[in-house]
Amino acid sequence: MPKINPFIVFILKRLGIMVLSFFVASTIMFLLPRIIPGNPLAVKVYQILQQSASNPEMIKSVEKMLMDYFKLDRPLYEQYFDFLINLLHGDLGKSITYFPRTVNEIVAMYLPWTLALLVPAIIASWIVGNYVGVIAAMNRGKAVDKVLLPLLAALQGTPAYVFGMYLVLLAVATKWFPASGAYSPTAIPSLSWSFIVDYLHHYILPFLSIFLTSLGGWGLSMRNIAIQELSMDYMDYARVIGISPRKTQSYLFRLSALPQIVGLAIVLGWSVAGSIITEIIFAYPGIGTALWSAIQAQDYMLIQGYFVILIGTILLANFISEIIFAVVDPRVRYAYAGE
Amino acid sequence: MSILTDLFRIPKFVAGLAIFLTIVALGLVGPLIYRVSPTDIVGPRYTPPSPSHPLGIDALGRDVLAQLLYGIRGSLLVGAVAAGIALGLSLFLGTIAAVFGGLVDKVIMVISEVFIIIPSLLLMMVLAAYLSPGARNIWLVGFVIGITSWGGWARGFRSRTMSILQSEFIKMAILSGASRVSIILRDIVPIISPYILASFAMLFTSAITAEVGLTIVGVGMTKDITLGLILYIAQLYANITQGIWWTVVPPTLVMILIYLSLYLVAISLDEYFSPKLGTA
Repeated sequence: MPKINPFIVFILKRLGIMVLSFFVASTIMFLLPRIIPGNPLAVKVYQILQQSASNPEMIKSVEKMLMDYFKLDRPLYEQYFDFLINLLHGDLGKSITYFPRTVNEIVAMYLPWTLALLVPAIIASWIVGNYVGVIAAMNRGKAVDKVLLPLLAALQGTPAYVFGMYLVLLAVATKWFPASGAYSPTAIPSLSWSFIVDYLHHYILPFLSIFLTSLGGWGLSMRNIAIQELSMDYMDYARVIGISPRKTQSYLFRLSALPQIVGLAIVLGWSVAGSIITEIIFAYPGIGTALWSAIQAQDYMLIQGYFVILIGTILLANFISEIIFAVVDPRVRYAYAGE
Repeated sequence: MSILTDLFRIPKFVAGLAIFLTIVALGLVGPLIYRVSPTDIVGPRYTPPSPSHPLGIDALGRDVLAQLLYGIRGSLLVGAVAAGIALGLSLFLGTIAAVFGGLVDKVIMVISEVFIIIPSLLLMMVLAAYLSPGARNIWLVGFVIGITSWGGWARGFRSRTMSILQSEFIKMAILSGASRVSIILRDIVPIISPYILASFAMLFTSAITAEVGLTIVGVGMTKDITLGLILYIAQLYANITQGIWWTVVPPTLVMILIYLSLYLVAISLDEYFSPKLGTA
């Protein structure tokens, strides 16, 4: 029997866990509305039926769509099978509140706004946080570290949305920055110069609240990793052969950044789910705010769609980060290649 | 009790414990001393703080200080229920996995991995979104948070148990015919008890934060007053953008103080009992 490359075994195992997790998550999503007493889905369908007096045509089609999608009158196993098939085809159904638009269309409408806010904020905090972490580690126990450490811990302990609330209060008190939305109510999204300036003006506060609170986490983990690296023999060697502290710092930065790259992939996957509340606080028109209004309107189709997409993104980011780790770090790669 | 006197010499531990106990006292005794009902309408809405209403009046004409005191009580209860459930699950599954090994270990590890990968906040949201709003009280919300946040700690308990299982006295216990359950209860739990305490503290504070998050999103608490519900009402009536700080700053400050105090307690416990692991 030929020996299979352990690296491939590793990837297959991680892939298995990812598929299993997605399966568990979607099973929970399938079962919940159906097993909870008073079946919330059936209640929603019933409500729509009752409202049909006011707008018979539209309501009839929504009801038909819901019946077609959920097939509540069919046996449970058949419903489950259909549910999985729809998911695998990327068919998340149609929204109840925005009928007849599909869930996919609505997600595509809000997602770019969320990404425009999150990706720059997280990458910027990753770079600055790593830098600050290395500085704290190089000066461990000295004054710089003693100031940085509690500051980073406090930033990490404050949820981004609480920070956001304070920033909004500050903005309202000082009138320096607009306190909500992604652009002025009168502005129309376009690529014009005036719109971009308006957008950036609204962008600063939500950006700051995500940037600063995630800075704490990056700084602390970088500091821990760098302290461990500093205690390694090769760092002593670098010192002994007279490499300048500046150069050592840059080596240290590159050595310690490896696990942080993995962290970055995970956090980017997480971020959309993690910033739901921050978006709500700033009334920023992204996925988070959209999820909030879907929950308020009890639009189960949209709620389910957002969850599938958020969980899917996170699982994928986790999987990618593990592969990156194995590919980027030769030590990990050799460990799996089994020498 | 030399361990206790030692612990009380660590400034971080004392500071954390003092802040936390003050907050607990506010939640337990506060409503008995400040006898204003948190649900009664006491004056015109958005009255700023004044001697008669030290933290002002909220969007629905209710006294904010009374809301805050009952809210602290509610949030502490949610934290205790959720942390109790999560700690029970993670301790049970983590130690069982380590001691029994084999297939039991594999199954528990895969389940916990799934629970770690699927973010607990999302799981909680899915669970809570489908629960009837009329039923979401302290117990239900605490339960939902508890059963979704045990994954990481189960792994922690497993690895700590594994390292103890290597010791000579465990081999002695096995040779003398002790059952695996008795090894867990008599040998392992006492040794990892500081870690259990630290994990309870962290589960407790993350449960309080999770409740606030769930409730602001609109799938959390509806029936009992918690810090989350105060903030939800404040957000629903756009208090923040109107600059009405007195319904927003007090509950968030309490939240941050609970986190910081328990974080101090947890890290000083961990540093005291496993000094080598400490990096601070």
